[in-house]
Amino acid sequence: MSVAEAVVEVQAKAKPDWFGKKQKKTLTDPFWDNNPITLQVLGICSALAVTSQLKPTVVMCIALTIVLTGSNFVISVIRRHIPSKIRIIVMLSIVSTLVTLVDQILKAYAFDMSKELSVFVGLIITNCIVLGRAEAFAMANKPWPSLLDGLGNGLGYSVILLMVGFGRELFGSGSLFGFQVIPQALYDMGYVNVGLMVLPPGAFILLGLIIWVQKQSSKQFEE
Amino acid sequence: MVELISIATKAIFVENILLAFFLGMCSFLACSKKIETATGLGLAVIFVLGVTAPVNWLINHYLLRDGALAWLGYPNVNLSFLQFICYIATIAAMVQLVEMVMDKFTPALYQALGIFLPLIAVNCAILGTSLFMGTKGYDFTESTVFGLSSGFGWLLAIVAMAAIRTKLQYSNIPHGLRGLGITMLITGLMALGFMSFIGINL
Amino acid sequence: MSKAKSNKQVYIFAIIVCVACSVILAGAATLLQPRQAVNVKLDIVKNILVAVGHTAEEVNSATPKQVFDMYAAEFSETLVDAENQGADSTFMKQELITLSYPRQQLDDMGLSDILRIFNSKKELLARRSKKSLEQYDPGYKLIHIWKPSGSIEAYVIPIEGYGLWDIIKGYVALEPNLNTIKGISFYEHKETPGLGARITEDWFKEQFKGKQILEPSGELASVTIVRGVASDQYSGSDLTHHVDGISGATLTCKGINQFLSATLATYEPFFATLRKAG
Repeated sequence: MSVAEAVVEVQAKAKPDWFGKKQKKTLTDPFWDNNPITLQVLGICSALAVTSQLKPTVVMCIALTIVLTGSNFVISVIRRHIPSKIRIIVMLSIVSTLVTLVDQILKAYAFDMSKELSVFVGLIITNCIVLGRAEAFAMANKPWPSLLDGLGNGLGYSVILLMVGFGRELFGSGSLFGFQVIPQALYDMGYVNVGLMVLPPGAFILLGLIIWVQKQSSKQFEE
Repeated sequence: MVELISIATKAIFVENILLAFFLGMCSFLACSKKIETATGLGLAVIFVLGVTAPVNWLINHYLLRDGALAWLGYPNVNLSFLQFICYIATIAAMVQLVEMVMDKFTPALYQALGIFLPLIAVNCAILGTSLFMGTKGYDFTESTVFGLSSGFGWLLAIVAMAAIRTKLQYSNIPHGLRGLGITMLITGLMALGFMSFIGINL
Repeated sequence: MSKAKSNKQVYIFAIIVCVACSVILAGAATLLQPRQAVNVKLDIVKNILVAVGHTAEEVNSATPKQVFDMYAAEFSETLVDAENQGADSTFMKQELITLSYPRQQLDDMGLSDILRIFNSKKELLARRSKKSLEQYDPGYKLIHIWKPSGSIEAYVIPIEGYGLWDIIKGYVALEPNLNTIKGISFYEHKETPGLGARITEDWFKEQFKGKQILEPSGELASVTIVRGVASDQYSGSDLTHHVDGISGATLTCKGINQFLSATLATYEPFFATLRKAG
């Protein structure tokens, strides 16, 4: 469903100018109006597990945006040479090479973060956004629009993820980025953290509510 | 034997790959509208997991991990950086196989699953299981059991969801919440239910 | 998209992709590997330092070199085998050399590094010598001795075991009387953030300080994390073996209780001889 929908909105030919209206639309559409998570139903999988606190969420967003932009670009560059019989496996090889690179770099330069994300960095490979956008957009478009599309979708994904992470850490632990923001006075008055928010079900419920708000605001209803 | 049962119970209920680890959400959300499709996809996932878990275990054990190449005379070679790419290649190959088998024997189901059959390859549940069995240090039999029961847990979750969504057609849901929104909320509630299994030790 | 390609083209393309991917990955892995190894080691050393009472801020603001120097200046390492006899790295080195590790490189390494490599190759070595792992394993235990100013001020031992989701690793530091806990630290865990992961928070680790692992009679009692508040449930000398639990993380705590007491039990015979020697 999601991929098929995504195929429809592919623009077959991009104008030669680099920052035209169309390019801007490619970049900004996924932020809200055509968000990969809430409207295309892509990439919900591995991401939600790391959103119980904001810090790992931010790292995850950066990692995914880099991988998505990179893979869209590379696949688009070689799209004419990829034999269609083995295209899935070729795309996956390229994506997993990029992911492994990111993983290795995290291990070398941001060790604490890579410890926190553990196997979830690897799971970016199977994040449906990456393959979904590669199949739906990069295989049919020139490198530059593909790069923008990857960047846009990565950022759109980050928007939703950060919202979920913000809500979960604020209500679940009373802090943001590890700093206490809910004052002690409130706790003394009997306020307690919502334990549900740090647990997996909290993420689903929060995301469900975000989708509700978004569909109301963009008036895109499903039957 | 007791250990194997414990691993299976844990993978199916306590650490349900879908509801506790969020893995395999995309196809879960998209293919849970009808029970038949859900069951078909679930069975395909069990099969793919049942094959890829032991195969990937062998690859990791005899080719990739630190010291794995000792049988070739290279005890100090560590190829674990090739883990992701090898795992995903195995999975993609297996999915291709399932696709061909289904096309031949159950063409109706093959049509119904459509795009989501090749997308099993990027079903995080499958790669996730392969990676988790590494961090948990399972041996060959344990990995196979773990793979099969993770798949079964996934099947259980998707069939349950499909059943709920069938009933949901008769309820009056706010417009904006219809479709994905309400599905997320229900998934949350189901995850809550599955969490009550936590702490069961066998 | 492209026209249908001949099989030959498909094969050539597949091979090109394979080679390109593996060259890039192998290159990155080789380049970054030394840095990653340093990170892993640094993390461990930092935790040992924190366990004996250095603050996290102090350790984290230091450069890697300063941290390693601090460790080298303040700690010495001792190895005991399964029978609690003192041991050195000779046997491990011999075995690792049969796996073609260069001797020079091994000689430059510290005891803990050699033990780490040895432990990672134990299974392989056991299979080589046609013994089961239990038969082969010399059961080496490492003890880090803290001598910040000449005299012994703490013994630090590694602890490791399953929490709720996965293995938790950490260090316990004991006062020279080998009874009172000086500090505890946890690293490498995958517990639920906000629940089980609170074991790394300071208030939780602080409460272990001053607790005793022995009964007045000399029996090993370990320290147990209770459900709820310890002082509501225990008093007097019992309270010295119990600390407050974390609500919502009962199973993580249960895991820690188990592996903490199991690890202390394996070290206990050696500690007993140390205590006797005074």
